[in-house]
Amino acid sequence: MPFFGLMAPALIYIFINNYLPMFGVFIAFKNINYSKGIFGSDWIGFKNFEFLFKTKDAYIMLRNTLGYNLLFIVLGIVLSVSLAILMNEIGKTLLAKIAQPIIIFPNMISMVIVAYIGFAFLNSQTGFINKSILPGSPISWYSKAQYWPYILTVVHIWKVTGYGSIIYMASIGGIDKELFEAARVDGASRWRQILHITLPLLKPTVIIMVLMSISKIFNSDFGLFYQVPMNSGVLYKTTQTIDTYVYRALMEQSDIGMSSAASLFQSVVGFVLVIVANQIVAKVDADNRLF
Amino acid sequence: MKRRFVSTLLAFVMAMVFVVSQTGMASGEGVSTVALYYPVYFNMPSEAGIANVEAALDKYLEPKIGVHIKLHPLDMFQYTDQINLVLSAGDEQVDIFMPMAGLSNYVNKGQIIAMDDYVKELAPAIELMGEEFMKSSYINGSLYSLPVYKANTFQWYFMCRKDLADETGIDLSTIKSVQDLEPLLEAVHEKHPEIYPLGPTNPNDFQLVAAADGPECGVDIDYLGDNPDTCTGAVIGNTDKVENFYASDAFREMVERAYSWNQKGLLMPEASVSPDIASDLIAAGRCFGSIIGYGYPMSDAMANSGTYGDYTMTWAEPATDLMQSSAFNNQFSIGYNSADPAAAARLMNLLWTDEYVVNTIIYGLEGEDYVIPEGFDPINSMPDYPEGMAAETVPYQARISCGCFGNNFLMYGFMGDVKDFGMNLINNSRKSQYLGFLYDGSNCKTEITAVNTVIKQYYISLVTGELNPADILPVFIEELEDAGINDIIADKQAQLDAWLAARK
Amino acid sequence: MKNRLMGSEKTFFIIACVLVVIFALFCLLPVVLVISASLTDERALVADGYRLIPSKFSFASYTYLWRQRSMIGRAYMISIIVTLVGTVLGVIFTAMCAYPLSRSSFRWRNIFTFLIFFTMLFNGGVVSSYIIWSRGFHIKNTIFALIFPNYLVGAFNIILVKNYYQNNIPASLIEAAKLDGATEPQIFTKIMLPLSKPVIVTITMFSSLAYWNDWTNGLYYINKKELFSVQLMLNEIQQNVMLLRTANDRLGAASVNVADIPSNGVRMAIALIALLPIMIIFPFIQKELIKGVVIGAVKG
Repeated sequence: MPFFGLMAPALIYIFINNYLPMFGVFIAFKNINYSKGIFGSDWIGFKNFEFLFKTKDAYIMLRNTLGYNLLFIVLGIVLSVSLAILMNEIGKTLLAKIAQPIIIFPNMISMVIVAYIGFAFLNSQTGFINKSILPGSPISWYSKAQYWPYILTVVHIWKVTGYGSIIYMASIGGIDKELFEAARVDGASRWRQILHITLPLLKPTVIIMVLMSISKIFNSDFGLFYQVPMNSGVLYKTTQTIDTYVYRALMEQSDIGMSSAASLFQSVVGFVLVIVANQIVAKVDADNRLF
Repeated sequence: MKRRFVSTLLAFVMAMVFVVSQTGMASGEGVSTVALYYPVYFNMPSEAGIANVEAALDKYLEPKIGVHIKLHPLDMFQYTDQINLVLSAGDEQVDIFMPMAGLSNYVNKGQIIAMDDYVKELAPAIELMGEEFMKSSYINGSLYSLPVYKANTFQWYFMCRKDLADETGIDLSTIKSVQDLEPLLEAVHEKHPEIYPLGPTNPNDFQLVAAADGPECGVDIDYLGDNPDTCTGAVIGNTDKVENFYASDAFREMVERAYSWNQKGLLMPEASVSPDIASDLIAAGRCFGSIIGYGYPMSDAMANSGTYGDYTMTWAEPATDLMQSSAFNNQFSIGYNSADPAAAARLMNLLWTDEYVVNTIIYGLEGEDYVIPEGFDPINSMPDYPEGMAAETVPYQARISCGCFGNNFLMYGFMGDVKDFGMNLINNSRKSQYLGFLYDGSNCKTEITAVNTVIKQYYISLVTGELNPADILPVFIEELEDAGINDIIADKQAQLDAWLAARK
Repeated sequence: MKNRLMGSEKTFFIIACVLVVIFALFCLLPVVLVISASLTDERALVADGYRLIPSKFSFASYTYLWRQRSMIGRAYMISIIVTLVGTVLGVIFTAMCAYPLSRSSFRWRNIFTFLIFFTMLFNGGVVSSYIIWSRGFHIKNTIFALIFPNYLVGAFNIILVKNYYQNNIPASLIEAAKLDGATEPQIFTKIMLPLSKPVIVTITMFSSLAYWNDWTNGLYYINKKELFSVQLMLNEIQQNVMLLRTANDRLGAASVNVADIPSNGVRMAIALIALLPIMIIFPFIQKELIKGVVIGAVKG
C-alpha cells in the first residue's frame, strides 16, 4: 500500500496527461466533422492510412527511417558511452568543468539555426568546405544525395552525443568507488578497470536505452531530416523519412485524421518491435528486461 | 417529506431564475457578445490596452447594433494553430475568424456556418464589394465568408539598381513581360559577372512562375483554387477542360526559361536551398534586381525606403495577374459555435463599412495609442504614436494587421493613392472565366497528399532553373500520374462541369 | 609495479584529455560561428558568408534585442519560474514513482512499468491533449499551461530512475533497513534518494532542459504577451522577422519599414541568448554528476 501512495502523484498525472487524450487514436479511423463532434463523425476504416503508401516514396522513407535509426542507435551508444568514460577519467579538472557545458551546447541550438550553420559550411559560393578544403574542385553538396548519409550522421553525432553521455556519466558516478579502489590495489590498469568494472556495470543502462530507442524506430528527428538538407527535393532519396513525408504531404491541408493515422502507424510498429526485443532480453538476461 | 421536496425544488428553480437573469444582465438587455479572432504581428497588444479598446467600442456598438465585442488578437505565427485547436475543442466561442487554410476545408469539417440567413445584416458590405468580388465566398450556392476588401491581384515590379540599369542603356518602360527582362539581365551580367542579375524575392523563389502566368503570357491559366506550387489540375486557355498544369506547354516554357537563364548565369545559383533573399543581396552589393508583386503603387519614396540598402532603385512593370479564386485567400467567416450569428454578422458588416470601428481595432484609441499631429493627412499617412511611445510600448496597436482586415480602404493611410491603385486593380484586372469555382478535394484526399509530395520533390528545383526540364519533366509527370493526379483531375472536371452547368 | 601502474594511468589520463578537447572543439566550432555571425554587419554577412572572425563588426543585432529588453526580461522571468516549479515537482514525483517499480517485492511492478512505458509509444495527439487540458482544467492563458501539459512526469525519466535503483543500489541494503523497522517511505527518503544523486541530477537536467527549450505549450495555450516564455518569444521574433522580410501580399509590406531589422544576425543572437542559462547553471550540475557515490559510507 505505501507503494501506491508513493506512485500516486505520477500515476494520476500520467492518467490525465497521457491516457485521457488517448481517445484521439480514434481520429485516425474517422472523417472528422466538427459539427458532428469527434465521436459523432463517420468511421472510414483505414482510409486515412492510404496516403502513406500511395507513392513510391513509401519504400524509400521506410528504408531511410529504419536505416538511420539503426545506425544512430549503435553510434549513439558507442560514442556516448566512450565520451562518458573519458569525461569520468578527467574527473574534477578544469578541463572537465569547461568541456561539460560545451558538449551540451549543440543540443540547445534549434535545428533551424543548425541548418544555417550547415549551409555556411556547405554552400557553393561562400561555404567553408568548398573554399578552404576543396578550393580546386568544389562539390555542390545540396544536389548530391550520396553525401547526405554522412553529413546527417555527423550533424546527429554533433547534436546528441554530449547530451546522451549524461545518462552514462550518471551510471558511472553510481558505481561504488570502492570497487575501483580494490582493483587498483590488485594492480589493474585503468584500461582493465574500464573493461571489467565500468562496462559490465553499464550494461543494464545500455539495454534500457536500446529498448527505448527501438520503440521510436519509426520516428525521426524532423529538424535533422527536413531543415538541415534545406528541404532540397533532389536529396529525398537519402533524406526522406516518415516524418518528413507526412509533413510534406499534409502541409497544404492539415488533416488531423491523416496525421493521427501516421503517428498511430509509427506507434504500432514501434510497439511490436519493442515487445519482441523485450522478450529476447527476458530470455537472455531476465533482470534487465524493461517490463 | 413531500413538502420539503417541493420547497427544495422551488428554491432550486428560484436560484436558476436568478442565475439566468444574472447572466442576462451581465451583457445588458438584448446585447450579445461577439468574439473576434484576428491576427497581429509583433508587439501584441497588452491586456489593459485590449480592455480599453473593448470598452470604447462597446460604447459605440451597443446603441448601434446591440453588440459587445471581445477582441482576441493572436500572433500571426500561432494564428492557424490556435484557431484550429479552439475550433476542434469547442471550448471557446469563436464568432468571427479568418479561415486561413482554405474555405472549403473549413466547410467540409463543419467549422464554419453558412451565412445565407444573415444576408440582410451583411447587405451593405456585400453591396460595397460587388458581385464579382464576392464570387469566391460561395460554396454550393451558400455564402460562407466575406473577403478582405483590398487589391487582391498584383502589379508585378522588377526592382533593380538604378546605376546598373542606366549603364545598360535599356529603357525600362519597354519591358512588358518577364521574357522581356532577358536582354537587361544579360547586359548586366556581361558588364558585372560578379553580380547575380536576378535574385530570389523569397527564399527559393525568383517568382518566375507567379509573375509569368498572368495575361502577359498570352493564355489564361486558372489554377482552380490552388497555387502554382500545389496545383492538382488547371484550366489553360478557357477550354473548360481540367488538365495537368505541370504537363502543359505553359509550365514547360516557364521552367525552360528558368533553366536557360540559370545556364547563362542570370540567376543566383543554388537558390533552391539558399536562405538568402534579393533585398539583402542587393543591399550587400551582390545582386542587381528581383521580381516582386504589390497591390500598391510604386514610387521613388517606396523604392528607396531602405529595404535595398543604400543603392538607388528603379523599376520596370513587367506583369499583372489574372484574377482567379485563389486571389481571395484572406477572408472572414463565422465559427460553428457562434452563440448569436446574427449579432456576429452585424459586427462583421461594420468591419467593412464603419471607419471608426476599423480604425479603432487597427490603431487603438486616439490619445492613448495614437495621436493625430497637426496637418495630419489620414488619407495617405498612418497616425503617429503618442510622445515617448513606440510600437513596442504603446498599450494597443494592431497596425501590421492592416493588410488583411475587413475593408482596407477605410484605414488611415490607405484611403488615397493606395485605394485608387487598388480599386483600379480590382476593377480592371483581367478576370478568369472560372472565378468563384472552388474545388472540394474531400473525395481525393489520399491522391492530393501523394501528389503534393511529388510536386515538392521537383517543383522548386525546376523553377529555380537548377534541373534540366528535358530530363526531369518526363519523370516528374510520370510520378504525378503514379500518385493519382489523373483521378483528381477527373474529380475536379466533374465538379467544374456541375459548376458551369449551374451558372447557365 | 606501482610506478608502472602510475605511468599507465598518467598516459591514459593524457589520452582522455586530448580526446575530450577534440570533441569539445567539434561541439564548439559551430557555436563560435554563431557568435561571430551575430556580431557581423548584416551586409557583410550576406556578401562574405559566415566567418570565424567577423569581416565587419556590428552590434546591430544586440541593439535590436536590447530595444526589446523589457519583453525579453519578463519572458526570462516566466521561463525561470516555469522551469523551476516544473522541474522540482516533476523530479520528486518521478523519483517517488520509480522506487516501487524497482522493488522486486512489489507484485504489480511489471504491469505498472508497462503502462507507463506504453505512454512513450502511443499518444492521442495534440488536439485531444488540448481538449483535456483546456476544457477539463481551464489552463489556457495561465502559467499552469506552461507547466502541466506534456513535461511534468515522463515515462523516460521514470524508467531511467527505476533502472538506476535496481542496478546500483544493493537489495541487501533495503533488507537491512527493513529489519531495522524502517517503513517504505523512510527507506525511500533515507536510503534511495541520497544514494541516487547522480541519476536525480541527470533527470533534473533533462527535465529543466525540456522546460527551458519548450515553446509548443506556449504556441497552443498562450496568447497573452504577458505570459510569453523566452523560447516562445524568440520563436515569435524569428518567425515574424522571416514573415515580414519575405511577405509581399498578406502584410502589405509597403506600409512597414523592416529594413532596420537585421534578420540574419538577430537569428543568431537569439540562439545565443537562449544558451545563457546553461552556461550559468552547468558548473553546479557538473560537480554533482562527477562526484559519484560511495555506498560503503552509507552502509557503515
